[in-house]
Amino acid sequence: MALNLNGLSYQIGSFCLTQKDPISLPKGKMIWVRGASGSGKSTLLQGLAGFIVAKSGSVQLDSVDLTHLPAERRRVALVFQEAALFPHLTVEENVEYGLRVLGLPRHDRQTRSQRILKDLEISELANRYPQEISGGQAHRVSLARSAIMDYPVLLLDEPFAALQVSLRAQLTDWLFHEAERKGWHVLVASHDPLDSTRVAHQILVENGSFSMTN
Amino acid sequence: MEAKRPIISPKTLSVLLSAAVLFPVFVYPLGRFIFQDGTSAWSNEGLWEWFSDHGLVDILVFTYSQAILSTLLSAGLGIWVAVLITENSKVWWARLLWSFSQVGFSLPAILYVLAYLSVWGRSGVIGSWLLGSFQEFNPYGWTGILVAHTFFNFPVFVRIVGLALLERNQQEEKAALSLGASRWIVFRTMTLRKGWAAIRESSALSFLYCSSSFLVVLLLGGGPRFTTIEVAIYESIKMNFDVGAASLLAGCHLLVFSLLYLSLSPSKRDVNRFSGEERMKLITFRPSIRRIHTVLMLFVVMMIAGLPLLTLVASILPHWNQLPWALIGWATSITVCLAVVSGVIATILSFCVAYLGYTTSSLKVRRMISLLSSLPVGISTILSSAALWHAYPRVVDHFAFSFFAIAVLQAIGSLPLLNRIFEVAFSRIAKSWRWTARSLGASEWQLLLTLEVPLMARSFLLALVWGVAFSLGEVGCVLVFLSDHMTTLGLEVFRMMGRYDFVGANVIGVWLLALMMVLYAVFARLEDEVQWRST
Repeated sequence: MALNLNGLSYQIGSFCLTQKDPISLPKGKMIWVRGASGSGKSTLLQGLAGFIVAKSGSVQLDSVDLTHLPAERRRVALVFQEAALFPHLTVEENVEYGLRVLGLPRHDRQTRSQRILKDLEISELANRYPQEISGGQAHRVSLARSAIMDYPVLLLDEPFAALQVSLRAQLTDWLFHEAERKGWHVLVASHDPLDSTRVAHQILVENGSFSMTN
Repeated sequence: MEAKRPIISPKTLSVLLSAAVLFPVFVYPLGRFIFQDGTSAWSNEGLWEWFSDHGLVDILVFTYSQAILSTLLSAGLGIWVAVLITENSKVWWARLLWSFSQVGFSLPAILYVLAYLSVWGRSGVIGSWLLGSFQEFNPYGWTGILVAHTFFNFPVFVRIVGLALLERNQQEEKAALSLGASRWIVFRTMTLRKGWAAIRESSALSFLYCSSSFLVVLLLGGGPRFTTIEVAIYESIKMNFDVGAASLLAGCHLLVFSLLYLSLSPSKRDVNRFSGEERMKLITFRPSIRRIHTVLMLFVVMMIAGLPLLTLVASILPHWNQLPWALIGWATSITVCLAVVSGVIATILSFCVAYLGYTTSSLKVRRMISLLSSLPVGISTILSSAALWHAYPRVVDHFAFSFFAIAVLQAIGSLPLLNRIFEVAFSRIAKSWRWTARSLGASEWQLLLTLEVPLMARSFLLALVWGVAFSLGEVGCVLVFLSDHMTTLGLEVFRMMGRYDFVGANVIGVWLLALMMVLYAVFARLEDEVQWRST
């Protein structure tokens, strides 16, 4: 299963982001979307997630065309830099949110959320509210909330920007192994370099265009 | 596993619900009233007759000149109070004034008229003395109208300008000071510029409110020289039975209101969160001058607001044992039922309208929604009631129909205020929350029910309390629809004033004030919690 991007272009106001060459991303790999601040990394991720309408081109996952699907039906999870945890829900409820809107029974939701919270070493936070946890913990919860969906595409917008080096390495490792094990396409937008042993490909975003680099 | 597709989207349901309430009760009657019932008045001859004989020009000139003067006075006092509150936000009197600004803004007009007359009226505490000393003193006319409008509108400035000053980011101002700019330059070039949008917004609101003022002008105007458009409409319908004239006046007012609204409507303010840092002084004064300045401001507020309300309460103390409990009980039960029904309708309606504005991406459509939801600021309940009465004359024959007509019209009257509560609540929902929820598979309905509504729970309660408070003392609709054997507290005060029974009016007025105070207490508590959650 490959994620294919062909001739995409997105426009926000006067800023236009266009794709130079066709890109085919293999499954189970981590891709680093790199570029300077303001180069359009977030625009690309938001476009792939379905929040910005593509002016032209297509996004295909295997044989399914995602280009015109609304965000909620794409099965593409987006993780924001600021964690964006829902303040009225506990950590556990935040993590279970996506499963709840899908209508999964409570028992199944709890089993899956407990497992992922344990994997990310935040089980003890389950009953706390977002205001009661630290920034690093919030990022892990945010990652757990998207990862639990087991969607084929996971997009992370500057997820490690405010994290300590050790935590960053830990989360990168976890993502790398999960992507490999479950066959996810993980695109990480970051202006800081990622661990080169974990990154399979790079997409360079600069001067209003993006293309695959080695 | 995929979520089921809904039959109807929340946006469509909001459109349908809003249209179902607004079209038959507000838009259609008003349109018919202006364009159909007054056809003769809109002809060339009709217009000429009105311009030459009926003093339309005088009415228009008085309406807008009193609105301009009232706005200027309210702006002067309101900005003064807002600046002092900002600088002394931890002092007791500043907190008291901040809380009071809520009360002043929404107190029923009839209550303030009573309170004003109990101090400044011909037999009032100070008014009688002034009349003895200065023969020409007249509490009615310009004096009464301007004082009452200032009372109702200076809190608008306190709230909006005060909040803009409290929430402004002071880092830039501190940076400018550290670069050698004087406090005056910082105030002029940065602080004032940041507060300008708020001053513009509150001026627009105040002007629009004053230009459609009804009860204050009716009760304190004191003669045909002091007739605003709304009073003229009421008189045309209730006394002269001249629908054409009323529709002409309504059309003129609606036209001026729409033009003014579109040119004065506020641009979006940049709202920062409370930083919790020590507030900088806006203008530097010597401590002694600052103290005099504060005392003077408190004295003016006391004379306009505190003293009249306290005197009103004190005036009924000797009459405690003569309270007409049967009448109070009967009027209270109808008033409260009406207020609760109206509050619920207002909350649902304003949520639907705010939701439409929130989910619409087109700026033009958003502006149109904003204009429509603000129309009740410029159209008093007396005009909307008169229009409804003309469109459906048989409504008054049945108590249930009249009751619901009043409730819905009062709900529409409070729409601008409640809509604003929901607009603020929606603006506090981060885009990243919505997008995250959608990327996790939430449909529009799920987004609404699992994220937006729970996050806005307090705002719903807040809107409900405001909706109820608005309805409690409203008289305009009740005056048109309620039959002689039915009454509300506000209407009873109005009737007693008409019979010069000021003792009875004061007693029922204080009872109404007590009910309002209970609501304000609930409101203050809710507002604190909403503030806490948003920070």
